[in-house]
Order: sequence, then structure tokens, then C-alpha cells
Amino acid sequence: MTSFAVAARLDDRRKWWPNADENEYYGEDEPHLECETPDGKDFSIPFGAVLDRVRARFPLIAMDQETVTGSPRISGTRIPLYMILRAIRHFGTVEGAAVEYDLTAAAVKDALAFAAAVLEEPVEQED
Amino acid sequence: MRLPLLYWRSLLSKKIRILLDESLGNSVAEAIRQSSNAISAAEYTRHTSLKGAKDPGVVAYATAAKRIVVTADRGMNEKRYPICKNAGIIIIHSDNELDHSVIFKRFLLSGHKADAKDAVTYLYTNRARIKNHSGEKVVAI
Repeated sequence: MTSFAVAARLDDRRKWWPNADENEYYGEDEPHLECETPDGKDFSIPFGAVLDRVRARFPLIAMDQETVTGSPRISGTRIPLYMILRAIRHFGTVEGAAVEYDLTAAAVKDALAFAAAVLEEPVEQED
Repeated sequence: MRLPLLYWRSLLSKKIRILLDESLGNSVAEAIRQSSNAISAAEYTRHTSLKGAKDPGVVAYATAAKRIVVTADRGMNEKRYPICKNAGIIIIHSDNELDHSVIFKRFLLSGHKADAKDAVTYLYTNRARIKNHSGEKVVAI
């Protein structure tokens, strides 16, 4: 059972039996809320740490606070990845974006792969 | 009230000097090339030693050369680079790549381009928000 399902059942229990001892709820096979997250992902990682971790896998991508205000960019340029993604959306091809920004197709593909890798990573959830 | 032709001519003929940031693509550079009657001198950071330069370096260069920085980076705003301490910054804000060149062309033809000097100007699809030493105004473009 996922922690979300446990939380939902616990909420129901609090609603109908407000004075009940919550510790009694857990049986041998039911995990505690704080011990599990869905799919085993760690949702306590800040977004900045996710970017740093993913960037280490992409040598063509650079990030520093003094250049394009810290946005991930193509190394050696001031071209932020978000502009490359928009160019791909507009032109419909990797080559179109590469021509628009005078980049190699490999750099544009790295921008795509970086974005995908960041979105794949779990990040800190707000309450 | 109809404004005299000379008024419009003076508005449209005030040329500005700009430094186009690398964050903007070739389509904006092309739009600027086609607007040579509105811009007296344009430089593209991609074609200079500023390629890959840090933000403060770009703004310092533009200030020394009295050029208005045109960028897509919303972080280069009046909070980091106070108004009147640089030659001006224009931030083009759009989620669509093509819109950047269209929006900038509209602004050049709007009659407000001279207001971008010593100011921070945000360009949106149909309007411009200009922040200068005397306050802030929103104009249609």
C-alpha cells in the first residue's frame, strides 16, 4: 500500500474516530507514513540540487549564477536551454533550432536530453 | 486630435543603438537588420568577444558603448541592474520563439523606442512596460 493510500485511510479514521489512538491503526504489514514515498522516489531533493546532479551528466550544459542569471545554457555561450526548447517547438525540428542559434545538432539534442532528465528527477514537494 | 506629420517623423526617426544578446536567435537579428531605419547601430554578442560572457560583463560593455541591451533573460532586470546606471535594457517576453522578432519590430514602430534609453523595458505580445527614473508606464505596441 502506498503512503497516499495510507494517508487517505488515516484521514477517514480521524474524521470518524477523532479520539482514537493513531498508533493502533498500523498493523504488521502497513508502513508508517514517514517511511515510504510512492515508487521509492526521494521527494526531499531541492530543485537546485536536481539541476546540479543532472548537469554533471551533460558536459555540453553549463550553469552559473553570473551568466543568463543561472539558467542552464549551452557551454561557452549565453544561449539558455529554455530558448532552444522554444525554438524546437517553433521550427519543429532539431535542425531548425540549431540554425536559429548557430549550434550543432548534438548541442540541441543535449538540451532536449537535459530537460527530459530534469523532468524525470523527483523534486521537493510543497505542502 | 491629429498629430502633425513632423511629430510622427521625429518619433520614428529617433534611432537607437543596441546590443543584441546571444539569448535571442537569428530571427531577431534578421528583424533588426531589416529595421535599419530605426536602429543606428546594432551589435550581436554572438559575433563579438562577448560570446558566452557573464551578465555583468555584457551590461558593462553596453553601458560603455551607450547601447541598449536587448535580451530574453528576465533576470537582467532593474533589480540587478538599476535604472539610469546603464544605457537601458529591453527584455522580450514571449513563450513563442517567432514572437520575439515580431514583438521587437512592433516596438520599433510604436513610437516609444526612444523611451527605452536609460530604462528597463519589458516587451509583451501587444504591450510594453517601460520603467525609467520618472516611474513606470504601459503602452500599446
